[in-house]
Amino acid sequence: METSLTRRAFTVFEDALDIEDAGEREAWLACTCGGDEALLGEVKRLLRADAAAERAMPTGGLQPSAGPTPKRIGHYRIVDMLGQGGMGDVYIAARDDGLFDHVVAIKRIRPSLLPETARALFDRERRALAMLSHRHIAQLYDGGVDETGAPYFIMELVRGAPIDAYAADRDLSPRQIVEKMIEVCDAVQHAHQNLIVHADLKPANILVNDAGDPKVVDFGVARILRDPDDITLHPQTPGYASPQREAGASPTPADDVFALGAILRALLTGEAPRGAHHTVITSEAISKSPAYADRKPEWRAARARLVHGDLDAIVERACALAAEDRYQAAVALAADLRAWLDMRPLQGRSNDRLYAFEKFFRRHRLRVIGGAAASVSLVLALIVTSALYAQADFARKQAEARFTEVRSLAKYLLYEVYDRLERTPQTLAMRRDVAHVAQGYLSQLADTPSAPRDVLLEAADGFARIADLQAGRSRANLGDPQGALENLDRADQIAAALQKADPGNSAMLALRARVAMHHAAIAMNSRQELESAAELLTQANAYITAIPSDTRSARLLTVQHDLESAILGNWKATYAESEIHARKAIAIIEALPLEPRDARGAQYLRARAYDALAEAVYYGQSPAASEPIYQRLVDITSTYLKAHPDDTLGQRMAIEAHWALGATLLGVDRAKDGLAQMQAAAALVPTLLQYQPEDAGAQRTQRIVYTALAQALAMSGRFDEGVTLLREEVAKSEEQVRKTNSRPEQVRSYGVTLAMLADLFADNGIAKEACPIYAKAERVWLDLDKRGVLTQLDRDNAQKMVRDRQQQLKCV
Amino acid sequence: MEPVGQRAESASREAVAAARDALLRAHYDEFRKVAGRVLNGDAAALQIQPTDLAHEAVIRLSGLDRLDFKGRTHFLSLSARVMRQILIDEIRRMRAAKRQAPPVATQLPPELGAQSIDLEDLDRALSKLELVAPDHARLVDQRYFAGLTLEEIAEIDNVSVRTVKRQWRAARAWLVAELGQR
Repeated sequence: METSLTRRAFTVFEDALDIEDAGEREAWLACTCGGDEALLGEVKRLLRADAAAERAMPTGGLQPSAGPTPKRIGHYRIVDMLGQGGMGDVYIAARDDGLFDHVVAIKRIRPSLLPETARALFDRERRALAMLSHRHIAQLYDGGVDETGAPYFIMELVRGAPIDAYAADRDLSPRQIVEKMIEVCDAVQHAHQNLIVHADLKPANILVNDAGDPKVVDFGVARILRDPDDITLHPQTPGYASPQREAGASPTPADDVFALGAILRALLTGEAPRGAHHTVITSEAISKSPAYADRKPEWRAARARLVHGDLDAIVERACALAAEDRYQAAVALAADLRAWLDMRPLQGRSNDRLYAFEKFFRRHRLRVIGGAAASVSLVLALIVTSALYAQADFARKQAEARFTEVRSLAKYLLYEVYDRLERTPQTLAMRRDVAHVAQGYLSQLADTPSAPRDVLLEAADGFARIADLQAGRSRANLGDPQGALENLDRADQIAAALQKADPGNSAMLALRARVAMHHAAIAMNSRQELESAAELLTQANAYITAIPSDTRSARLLTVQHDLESAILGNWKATYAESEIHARKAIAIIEALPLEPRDARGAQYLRARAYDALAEAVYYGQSPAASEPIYQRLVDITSTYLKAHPDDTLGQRMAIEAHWALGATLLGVDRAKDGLAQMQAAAALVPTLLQYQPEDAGAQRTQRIVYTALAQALAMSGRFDEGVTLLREEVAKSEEQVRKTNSRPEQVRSYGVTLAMLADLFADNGIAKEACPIYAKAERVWLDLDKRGVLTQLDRDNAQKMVRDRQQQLKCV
Repeated sequence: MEPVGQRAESASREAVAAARDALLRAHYDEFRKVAGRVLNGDAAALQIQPTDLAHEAVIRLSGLDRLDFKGRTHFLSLSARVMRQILIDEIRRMRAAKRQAPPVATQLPPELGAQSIDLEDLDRALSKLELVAPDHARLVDQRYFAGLTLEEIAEIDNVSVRTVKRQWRAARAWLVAELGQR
């Protein structure tokens, strides 16, 4: 059968290629074909044809066919061909209309590469490129379409070599390479500021002339050939293309930065990159580079030593796989390269304080003068640049209409959609998505340099709002305090910048006060950073006092401030002070006429104020004294919940109130009443969980309530029921630890639950059961401590309590 | 050695084929337009280089960056076979329309004998190769109709350059022998 014969012949043929010696091959073939004459004949026929083909052209690439060389293009006479590339041919041409002598380079794009529809764009972009004028950019003079339909560019003729060949030929030192690359960065920066991305930076596009000046060629050409209806992009050379470009994304300045880093690395190592992801750091690559194989080991070691550290770090940062991890701009890369030359601390490693100090020291030792002026200009350049980036990405492409659209979209998502979702059961994932999308819109708004003040304020307000969704106490938050802090910072930065122009603006002050208070809340509640929380509250107070005090918003802010201060006082055990703040907050809020719009938030503030007051009294005076306050809290929240049964905030407030009152009653030996409150709390939990099954806060609430219920059961003489309940809670908590890959807060919660189960046994005199569970809890705290995430508060209380009780019980 | 069938059987191939089909359905008309324009552009003795056609098609096709492909080479590779088909279809259509239409010749590269041959003969030879060794035929399409280098093909197909080189030499040898018989 012919099919199998040809296939088998291919197999034998391909193996035979490995045997170079003719005689050996003959013998091998005879043996392999084993008397199958047809197979042997076919293989030999193929081998003969292969030999003929190899003679004609070794196995390499097919060369693109060169079209006929034109005699002239535009006003220029073609003198010679300079080179051939993927996009077309490059010629040396001279102007010959007698007006003046002018020798130029003309790049003629393959006639077929530019469809009719793209002509208008080609002309427009070409003119934009011609405006680019920089010492290190090959000037584009003109362009057009010749009579065969081929588009062409007339450019400054650079007589020189690609930068990699130049560096190799002249044996440039790392220092000389860095000097050249700084010039290249400046050129790229200049183009970026003019909203032009190169999109195909590589050594072949950086020519160094005889005077040693690098000139970047083909700026934006790659982009021209793709734009109008997203005509397909000219592919960027592998190794210099960022992962984003490789994945097919449109070119951005960040891709140029990546390419600059890759070029720097290639020049230092003498090797072309193999892909976007280099695994060997630059200085190590130098020692292994085949380009330097014939150098003395000392030479390689010296070069690697020079590059090791700073230049390694610079390349890593420029070539970071994620665009946001890279230098924000070519100018920032250039600044670090200059710093390397001057031995100033590097932006790329500025986190390392010791390192900065060492650099600083060296700089002074060498008496290199660095000035504040330099860093000021850098900051300015960065601001200009990042503004321009945003413009390039957003404002330029999108008209005013789009801007308005984005603005309203962000608003709609963050308020209307989110609120509606929040009232709908099981929408955590959707809410997270909505917040994420809204965040993207807000970033666009905030980064638009032309955005008017009210839009910026709106964006800042939006960031604060997202922070609230991420970690706000007044809602089933998304459980992302870190993200919340970032958004708060962002909101405050925008507001601070706006405030400079208008220091007394109430809206701005109110926003900053809110942001500072939210920040303080996260600081004390999630991180136990009480000192910084106190500072933030002082700061917030300064903003609030600057707002006219007779406004409703000023009053609500004051309530919130007193509330947060009361909570902070409870953390710090300054209960008398805490009580004063809480009472003040309650007094103001009870006096406020409750408008429907704010009713929910105000009710929440009021409930929390009573909660804080009760806690201050409980610890500051006596548990018994706090009971009527907790009772009032239960009344307030129950009334609210009756009016708004679907409001998860109301559900949570009521659960917490019942729990707090119940715990107080248990503490004053009113076990039966306490149990009733715990049961009331536990009865509300399933509804809450049904609404927010994935919500971390709801799960925590559940655990706390069930644990308390178990204790109440035990204290009411129903010990076994309590143990069963708590064992279930321990198992669930353990499951959470596993599921979240030991997230600290889950581990902590596990430790607390374990301790509670142990307490239950210990309180009922069953040391045999309690001891091993305490030991387990102790291991949990030790584990957190080892990971560096045990807070001082837990060390002083939870961990200590576990140890003390083990001693009391004389556990081994 | 690596069996020839292994490339064909690699699991990702099916996914790639599905993506390719969707892509080509979306762009078939555009290809035809390109092929038609190339064929109508010249006079008596029509001689075209398929790689030009491929590159023009790529440049003209819109929306590629919205597809999850690794840029031009992937696209070219995926569409090489279809480009050949469309080109041949267009040639036949043109012949049917103009009774005296000349055969459309193409200049084979030196390694294939540097001769000028009828594109339809080349198509027939490749169709025959397709029947007996589809991977090898595909390689020729990728090389000749899409103008990809062996290194690019190796990367796209995720096989070693060595494997591609061996297969290419087998395919080339077969083609030289086959075309030489005419």
